[in-house]
Amino acid sequence: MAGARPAAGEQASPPRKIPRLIPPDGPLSLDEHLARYGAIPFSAALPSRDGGIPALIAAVERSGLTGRGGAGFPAGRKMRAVAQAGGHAGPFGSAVGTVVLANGAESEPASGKDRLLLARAPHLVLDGIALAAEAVGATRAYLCVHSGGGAPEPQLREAITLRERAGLNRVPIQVIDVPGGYVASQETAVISFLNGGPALPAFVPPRPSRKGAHRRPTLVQNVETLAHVALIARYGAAWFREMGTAQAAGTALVTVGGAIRRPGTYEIALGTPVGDLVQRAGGPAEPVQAILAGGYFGGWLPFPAAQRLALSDDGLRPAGAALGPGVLVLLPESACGLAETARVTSYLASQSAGQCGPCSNGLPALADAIAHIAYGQPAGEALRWTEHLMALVTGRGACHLPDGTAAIVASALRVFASDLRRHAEHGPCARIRRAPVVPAPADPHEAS
Amino acid sequence: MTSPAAAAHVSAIVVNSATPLWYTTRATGLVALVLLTISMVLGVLSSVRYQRPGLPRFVTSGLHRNSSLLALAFTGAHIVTTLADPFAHIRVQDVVIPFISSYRPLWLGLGTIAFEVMLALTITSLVRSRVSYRIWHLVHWTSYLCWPVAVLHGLGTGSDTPVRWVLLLTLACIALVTAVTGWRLAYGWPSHPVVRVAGALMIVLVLIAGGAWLAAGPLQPGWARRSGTPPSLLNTGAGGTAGTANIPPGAGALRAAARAGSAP
Amino acid sequence: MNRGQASTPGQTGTPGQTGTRGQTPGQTPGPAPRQRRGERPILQVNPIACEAHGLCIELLPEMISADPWGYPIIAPGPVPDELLSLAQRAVTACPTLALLLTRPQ
Repeated sequence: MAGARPAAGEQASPPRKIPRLIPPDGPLSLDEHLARYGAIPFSAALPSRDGGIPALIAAVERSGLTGRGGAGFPAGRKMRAVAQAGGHAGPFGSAVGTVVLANGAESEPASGKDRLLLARAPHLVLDGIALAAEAVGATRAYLCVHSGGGAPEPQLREAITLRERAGLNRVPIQVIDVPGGYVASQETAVISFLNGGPALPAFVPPRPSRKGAHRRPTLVQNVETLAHVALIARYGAAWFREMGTAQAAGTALVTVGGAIRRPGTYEIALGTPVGDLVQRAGGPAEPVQAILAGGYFGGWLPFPAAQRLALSDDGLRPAGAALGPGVLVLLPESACGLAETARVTSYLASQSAGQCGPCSNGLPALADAIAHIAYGQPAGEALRWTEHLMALVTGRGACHLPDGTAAIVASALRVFASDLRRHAEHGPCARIRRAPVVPAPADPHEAS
Repeated sequence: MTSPAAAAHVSAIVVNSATPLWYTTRATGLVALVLLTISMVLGVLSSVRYQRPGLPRFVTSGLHRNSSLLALAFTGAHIVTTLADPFAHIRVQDVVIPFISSYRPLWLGLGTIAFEVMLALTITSLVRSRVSYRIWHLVHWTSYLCWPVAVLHGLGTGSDTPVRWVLLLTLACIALVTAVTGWRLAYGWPSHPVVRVAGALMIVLVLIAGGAWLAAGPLQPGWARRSGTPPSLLNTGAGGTAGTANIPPGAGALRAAARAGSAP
Repeated sequence: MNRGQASTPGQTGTPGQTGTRGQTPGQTPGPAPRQRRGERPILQVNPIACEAHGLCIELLPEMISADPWGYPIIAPGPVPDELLSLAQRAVTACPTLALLLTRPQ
C-alpha cells in the first residue's frame, strides 16, 4: 500500500482500506510522509478565483466530516464560519487574521486516540493545521496538548521546526501545554487559557468562531478532524465518503478498553457494528454485561444486545448513548454497573470548574445520590431525588459537564435497572468490591 | 448691644455670612452626608445579602440606588449654593480641582475629591450595562474612600462642627457606617482573610486618628483660622471661648458682634 | 433517553444557549404566542456570572424560580409581551449583570 514517491505533479494513490490515519509502520519521517501521501495541496486552500470560499472548505463540507472531539459538529461549516468571520471581524468591518487551534488535549480518561495520532502520525495532523490555516485566513496556529497525559511534546516541536524549514507550515505553529482536568480541554476553556486566563469554560456567546484566541475568530478542531482534512485535501470528498455511512461519513479512531482482550485504539469505518469492533479487538476478556459508549458524557449499552448497533452518533443515540470522542469501555459481569457509574460521577463532580452554582452544588449532590444507590439500600425517594437532581443540573451550566454527568447517571439507572431493584431489596451487591474497570483518575487534575 | 461674652462666643465661629445661601449650603451639606451614610449602609447590606421577609433584596438594592442619587442631588445643591454665595469666594475651579480654594483649601479640597468620586460612582452605575462588571466593581470600591473623605470635609470645612446636635449627628453617621462595615468584615466579605484583617485594622486606625484630630482640631477654638479661612473673613484674631457655641440669631447681631469683636 | 447535543470536553461545536436547552422543571409561561413569535426575546442567565443574589427571582416569579441552592431556574420559551417590562427590570436589577434578555439567533 505504501507507494513509491510519486512523480512530480502526480497524486499519490489514496488508501482504499483502513487504516487511513495511522500508518502501521509509523511514525513516518517528513520525507516518507510526503512520499506516502503526496505533496500538501495548498492551492485548494486558497480563496477561489472569484474571491470566494476556498475549494478545500467546500470539499470538507461535501465530505460530511464531523468533529472527532466529541460534539460532532460539521467541520466544513465551522471552517466556513471562521473564514467568513475573519473577513469582517476587524475594526470597521475590515479583514483580520484568524487563528487555528488544534485540540489534542484529550482530557477524557478513557480515550487515547489523540495521543496515539500525535505520536504515530504527527505530520498528518500538522498538514491539516497548515491547510486549515490557509483556508480560513489564519495568521497563527496552536497545537494544544497535555504533556501530563503523555503527549509527545518534544517530537512535535521537532516536527514543526523541520516543516518550518521546508516551508510547509504557512503560519507559525506553537505547541501549548494545557493543564489537566476534565473541563480544561473544552473549546472555550482552551481559548481562555490561550488568552492568559484559567483553563476553564467561558460563557457563550460569543462563540470561538466569532471571537476566540486574542479576540479573533478561531477555528477549534480536534487533531483527528484535522488529520482527516489533510486527507480530504489530497484525495477529495468522494474518496472520504467511500467508507462510513451516508449520515456518518468516513472513518474514526475508537479507543476500546475495559474487559477486552486487546485494549487499544482502532480505526473503524463509521457505522461498523459494535460487535465487529469488539471482535477485532480480540473479543471480551470475560463475560461482559454492558458497554460504556462515548466516554463519560456517553451512555451505557446492554451487552450483547449492543453488538448489532452501528458505531456512529446517530446509530447509538436512539439507544441512549453516543460515539462521542470514540470511546468504548466493556463492563464485565463481575463488576457492578451502578458502582462504576458512582465512581465516574464522583470524578466528574470533582472536575467541576466551580464557576456555575447549579454544577458546583448539583454534581456533588448527584454523586452522593448515585453513591447511595450503588453502595447503600436506596428507597424509592432516593431514585426520585436522583432524577430531580438530574433535571436540576441539565442545561444550567456554562459547559456540558452537568449535562453529560446527568446523562450517564440516567443511562445507568435505565440499563442497570435490575441491579437497582436488587440493591433496593437486598442492599449493595458483592460486585461493588471488584477492582474498578472504568478509569477515573484518583488525582482529579491528572487525566490518565 | 451684646455682652462681651456673647461677642466672644461669636468670634469662635465664622458664621458671618447671613445670607440664606450660606445656611442652605450648610443644610444641604448635612443632608447629603446623612443620605450618603444611608447609601453606604444599604450598599453594605446589599453586599452581605441582608434579607428579611419585609425587606427583599430588590428593595435594599433599589433604596441604595435612590439614596445615592438623592445624596448626589443634595451635594449638587450644596455646591451650587456655595458657588452662588459670595461670602467665601469659592469659584467654579474649586469645585473640580481640589486644594486651590482660598477658603480652607485642604478641607474644601476633600469635599471636591468626595464629590468627584461620587460622580464616578454614579456614572459607572448608570452605564453599568455598558461597562464591564469588573470595572464597575473596582470603581464601586472607592465608595469606602468617598464617604470618610466627605465626613472629614464636613468636619473640617463645616462651621457647625462644634454645634452639639451637628456633632452628634455626624458621630451617629460614623458609628453607623463603622458598625455595618465591621459587620461586613465579620460576615466574611471580602473572602480573603488577610484583606479582612487589614480592613479591620484600618477602620480602627482611622477612627483613632480621626477622633484625635477632631478633638484637637475643629473642636478646639481657633479652628477657623487654623483650617485656612482667609483672614478677611475672620474676626480680628482668633480665639474666644471653646466649646459649643450657639449661633446667635439675626444678621445684624452677628455683624455688630463681629465688628465689636474683641479678644486675642 | 434522547440526549440531543451532548459533547465531551474535547470539542463543543454548538454550545447552545444556556437557559433554553435541556429540561427545566416544567413551567409554561403565559398565554398563546403572538404572530411575531420568532422575534420575541428570551431570558437566559450567564451561569458563570450568576452568584445567586436572587433579585431576579423576587422580581419575576412568573418566569424565574429558585433551585435548592438559590440559583435561578428560568422557564423555557420566549418572554410573553405583558411580562417584557418586568423582565427588563429584572435584568437591570441583577447585581452581577448575569440575567440577559436576548433575541434568539
